[in-house]
Amino acid sequence: MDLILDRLTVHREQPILDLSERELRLSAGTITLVLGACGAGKSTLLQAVAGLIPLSSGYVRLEPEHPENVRLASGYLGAQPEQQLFADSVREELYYGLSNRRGRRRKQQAAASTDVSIKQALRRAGLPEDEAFLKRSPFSLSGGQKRRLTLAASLLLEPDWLLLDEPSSGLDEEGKESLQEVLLQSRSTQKGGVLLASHDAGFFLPLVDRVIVLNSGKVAFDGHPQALWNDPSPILAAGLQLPPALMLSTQLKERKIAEPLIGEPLKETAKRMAASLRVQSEKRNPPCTLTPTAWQPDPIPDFLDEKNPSEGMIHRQEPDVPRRLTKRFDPRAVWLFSLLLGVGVWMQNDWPGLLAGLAVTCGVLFFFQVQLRPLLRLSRYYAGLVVITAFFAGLSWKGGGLPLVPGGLGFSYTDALSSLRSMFRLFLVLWLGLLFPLTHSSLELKQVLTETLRPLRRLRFPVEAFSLVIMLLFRYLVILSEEWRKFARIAKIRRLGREGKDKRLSPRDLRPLLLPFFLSILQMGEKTAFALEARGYTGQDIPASKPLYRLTPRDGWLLLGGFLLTSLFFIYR
Amino acid sequence: METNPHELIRASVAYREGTGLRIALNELSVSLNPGEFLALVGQNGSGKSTLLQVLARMLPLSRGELRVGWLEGSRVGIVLQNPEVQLLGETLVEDLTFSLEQAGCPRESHAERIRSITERVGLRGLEKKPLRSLSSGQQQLAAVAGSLALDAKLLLFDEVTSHLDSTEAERIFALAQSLSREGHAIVWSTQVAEEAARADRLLALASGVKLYEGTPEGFYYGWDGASAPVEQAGVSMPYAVQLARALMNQGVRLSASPLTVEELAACLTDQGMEQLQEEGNA
Repeated sequence: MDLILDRLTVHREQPILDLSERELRLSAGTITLVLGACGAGKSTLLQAVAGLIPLSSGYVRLEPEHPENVRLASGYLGAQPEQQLFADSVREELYYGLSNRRGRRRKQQAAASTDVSIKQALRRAGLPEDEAFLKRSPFSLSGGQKRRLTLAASLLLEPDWLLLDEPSSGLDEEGKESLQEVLLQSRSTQKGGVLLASHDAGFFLPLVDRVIVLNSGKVAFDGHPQALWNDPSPILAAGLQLPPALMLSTQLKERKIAEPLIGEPLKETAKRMAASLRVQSEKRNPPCTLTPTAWQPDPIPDFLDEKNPSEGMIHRQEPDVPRRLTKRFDPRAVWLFSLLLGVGVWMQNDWPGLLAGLAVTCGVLFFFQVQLRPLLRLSRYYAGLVVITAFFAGLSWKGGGLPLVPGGLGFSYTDALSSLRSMFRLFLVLWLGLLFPLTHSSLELKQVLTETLRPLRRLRFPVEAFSLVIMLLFRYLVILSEEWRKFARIAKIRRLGREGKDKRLSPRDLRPLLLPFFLSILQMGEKTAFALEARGYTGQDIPASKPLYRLTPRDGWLLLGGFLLTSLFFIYR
Repeated sequence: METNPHELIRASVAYREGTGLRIALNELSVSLNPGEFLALVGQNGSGKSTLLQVLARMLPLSRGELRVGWLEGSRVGIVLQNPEVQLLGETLVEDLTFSLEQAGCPRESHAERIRSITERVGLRGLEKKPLRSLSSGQQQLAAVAGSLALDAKLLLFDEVTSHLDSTEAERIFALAQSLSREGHAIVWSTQVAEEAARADRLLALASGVKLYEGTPEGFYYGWDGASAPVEQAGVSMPYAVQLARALMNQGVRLSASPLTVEELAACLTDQGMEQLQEEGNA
């Protein structure tokens, strides 16, 4: 069945993918390659087609419409898929996807036939299918084998369309051969096809039926690979280098020597080339004065000499990290200031006091130009919790009525408000507490801690190690939430293989989500330790030539203001 | 100044695994000189990363010796595949400040050093952007900048181009090459044959053992009819080498052993009359 991408667009803060001008119809039995520089929108396109990220406009559909539940996501393999492995054995890993997929219809399938299909999938992915391999831990496999295992897991679900993000990266020659076979097989089935994104144009161009070149989220070229071979300018315009065979082809074409053709076996190319060289040499008149230096290849552009290195990069709209107002104060003063106010707000017990607290908090956040988006994102969950808790606190049971009769249930606004009040207070303190982390980087935090705790060194307190740990904790908070989102998405993909409406997260799904998540955290910790060492970190305190921070009169005013406000809160309470 | 090479002598690294030992490096000797660009090739698990860690003095040897030589007193920079783990600051300025402090650079000269380093790696104008918003290639360049801030004379690159697009890959490769011309020693571990072929010297590993050390020509073409070492190493050949070897099988005699497409094209345009001369002589 054909895959139709109908005027897709994906916008975040800025457009990431804009295919609004066309309907792309990918025919069954074809392989389509998406080329483009980093950030051109390739991965976004694949994730959008798989239904993993919301579309801003447009549709993805199959024609003819699939009567059952369409599982585009089950054919999706993201970049670095080996991170999704979790099971104790290769067999268990493969069985997980299959058991998800089993609907009522397939429940009757005997375990024996499951084993047959598992082995078949392993064979197709170019992996051994013997019992010893099935019992191996997925984590003991090499990088390339892990990738092939994830491909096998995907093939096992018999997806109509394979959506592959950088499938050849990290594969050795052998791995590439089996990938090639998988691609060619899917072409012959005519049930669906392949949509893949890759940097490896040299490997994929000869294999595919269609190439789409993306440039800054838009289609810059859409056609047969032969057309690109004849005129590779769209590849260059998209900011990519030509693959070696194509580069040679363009250079030889100008010199009228038989050039490599697309997809031609190397031996054939060599044969034609040798013949053409003979013809050429007969045409020419010896003695010839050509020397190897007579022809110069086009110089490789020296990127390092560019006046504006960021030109042409997709990230150029990103604003500088602003020099916030907080930077004009001593960080320790800012910290103390937010602490003082937090204490003041915490003392408030009635609504007028809390509203005053809200006004002061908002004023402070505004004064220090705190970015609202991260603040709101961090407080979103808490806000939901506040509302729900207040609601339940307000529920009351009026005696007398029969159980389970709505008449017996009452709602006390006073109770709800009182619960809301105490949680709201916590909310304000939370915001004030976020003032420092949101306006200072983790590295600044470390410096402040080191400076502040410096006197403790006399007591043999490991100041440097302590502040480093705090810094890493803060840094990890951000990274961990990103990692969690990534693995939640992977778990969703694997769950989407399931038929019917049963897509809820069940306890069974926790392991495939949690295990890879924790493994990745451990690996990250190891790498960070390695990186710190590489970055010259010795754990020894670097004595500063002069104090890094010095309190100025401005800091004095800030602290005085904080003290006054807190005193007012204290008097009012 | 010390002029002895930074060298490993019969170095072995072994890990205990269950009841046995897994040997990651086996009696490997290799030396590094300033201004040298050494490519490191081998299959996954052949010991490339272990060797890099040993050279960075982060992994102790089980046996053998590491003689620091000319690198005495200097640090070693290392650039990993995933740049985000080795960047510590929110912006490049902050990140470099961290390294400069570690290197004991006086605070007054930080601004000047940061300017010259960002200029050098080609990230001028991006110093104050959030590091997370940079592309992976730019983040790799930022990691190189961090090593330069430490004044590292030896820079190790661990398969840094594997997730980059071709233009970004070329950019960081070109930076490494130009740093080696300025006197830094570079070790470039890679799976990409096209990159390995452009090194000054090539070291091939297989199962922790040195399979080959010498020029890229010798690795991909061999000498005097002897089979080329590349065939035992289980790594791929550059396209230009594959085609050149196929042409040789067709009886074409090339004037040189081309390693890049440019060299092959230059050879071929030159080929016409060379072949004719041969035929004339015959």
